[in-house]
Amino acid sequence: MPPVDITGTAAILIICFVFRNMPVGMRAGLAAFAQIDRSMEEASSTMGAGGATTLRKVVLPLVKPAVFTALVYSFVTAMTAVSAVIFLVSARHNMATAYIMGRVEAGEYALAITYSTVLMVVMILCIVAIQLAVGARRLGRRREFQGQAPAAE
Amino acid sequence: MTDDIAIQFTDVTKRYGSAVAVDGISLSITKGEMVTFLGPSGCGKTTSLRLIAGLELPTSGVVRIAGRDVSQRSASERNVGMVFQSYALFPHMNVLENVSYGPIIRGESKASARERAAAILEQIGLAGLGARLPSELSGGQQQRVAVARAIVQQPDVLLFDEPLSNVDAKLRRRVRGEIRDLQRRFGLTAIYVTHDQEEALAVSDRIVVMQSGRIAQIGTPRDLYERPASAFVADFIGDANLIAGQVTGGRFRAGDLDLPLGGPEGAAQISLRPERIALTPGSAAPQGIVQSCTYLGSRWEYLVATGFAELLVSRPMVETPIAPGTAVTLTIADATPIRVS
Repeated sequence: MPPVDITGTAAILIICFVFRNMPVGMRAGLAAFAQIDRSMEEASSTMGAGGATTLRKVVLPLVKPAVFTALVYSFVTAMTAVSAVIFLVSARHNMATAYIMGRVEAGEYALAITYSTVLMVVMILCIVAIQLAVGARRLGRRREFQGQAPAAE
Repeated sequence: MTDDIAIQFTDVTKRYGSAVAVDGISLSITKGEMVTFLGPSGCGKTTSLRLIAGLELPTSGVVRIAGRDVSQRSASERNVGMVFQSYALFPHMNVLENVSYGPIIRGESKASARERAAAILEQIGLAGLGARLPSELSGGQQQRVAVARAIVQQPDVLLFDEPLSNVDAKLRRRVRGEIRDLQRRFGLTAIYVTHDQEEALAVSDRIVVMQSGRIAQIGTPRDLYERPASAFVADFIGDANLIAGQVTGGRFRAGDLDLPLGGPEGAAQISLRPERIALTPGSAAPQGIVQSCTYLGSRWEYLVATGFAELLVSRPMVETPIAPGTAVTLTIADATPIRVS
């Protein structure tokens, strides 16, 4: 008995799509947040609004378009989700994922799991290497204070 | 005495990590007064304003608004109105919704908040524009909406953060006049931040000149211009010729410049305003030679090389211009020059 028994349920499909589409939604949301002038929130607070009220009345209405775009994108990709690769691979140019699926269909689970593990390790190493090569990117909000040191808030 | 003090800073300091933005400032502002924080960028003027608004909290020291210690209170717990540099109007709300936002948040009924907002809009000449979105207004109108939004809930203090930096040069004079009018009409205590000394001279009851997080001098516009306390203030407010020399026997001497000056003997620095120096061409004992003569519409501006300094001299247009290369003598109009150090 596995610790969390969700294999074969609708929940696992939903969770899968949530995680798959999260980067797109986050990116769209962050971009929209970064575009809101910080003084907009400050104006709201000088007029007596707390953080929650400002979020509800000012910030959320302003990021609404981004939220809508992310939802549409996620919905469309989820509805049409079958990766194009499975139609495109051949014996000469196979891909790890398609190969793993083939092994699963053939009942060779041990091989499939090994391949999956190796795939994950290789990906993590690649991501670390890219991160080191490109450097961390700062996605920041515009700061009001013109000084050198970032405001400690 | 505390009754007419609107704002009081007691030894207020604000640090960001190791950088000190505001360095132990103490000051009081009287009710109904319009005070300007003036200084070059990075001098701490905007941080001081934000400390009053509650958008920054002091690292140490006490900020009092209307007698109440609000040092560690957030902006929403204070009663301040603020006009932002970018106006910060909510783009998804129309003008009336923008102006009635504050009163509704503070618990007023929608109907009465709207009524009050409409009344304010009418008073500042925006009647009938309530249904427009901010993007459908001109820059000047947006600014007035920002002011209306800041004063609708009768704040203890009205704060302006460089409100004219987005207004074109032609309109500035008019808008700053309107701001001053409004402040007087509603009897508001107002604080105005700017780096433009002319703007500061024009709108303020008092000016606080700031330099690297400290107060360099506080005074009326006239005080600051005519009696600057330091070379920094003299140079920042208007143009100044700063001349270093020696004081001996009640007279200031630098090269062949000789002026009466009291105070302690020894090294001294004086400030001479460009418009207080008159030039007479072709005399027996010339003190300087005109280097350049620039036409500035309302006046002539000269650079004069002398034995003690290169002087900037400003003369009214009605005078006959003096050609570069002419030897001149100087007449200083000030009975005694301003000693700045």
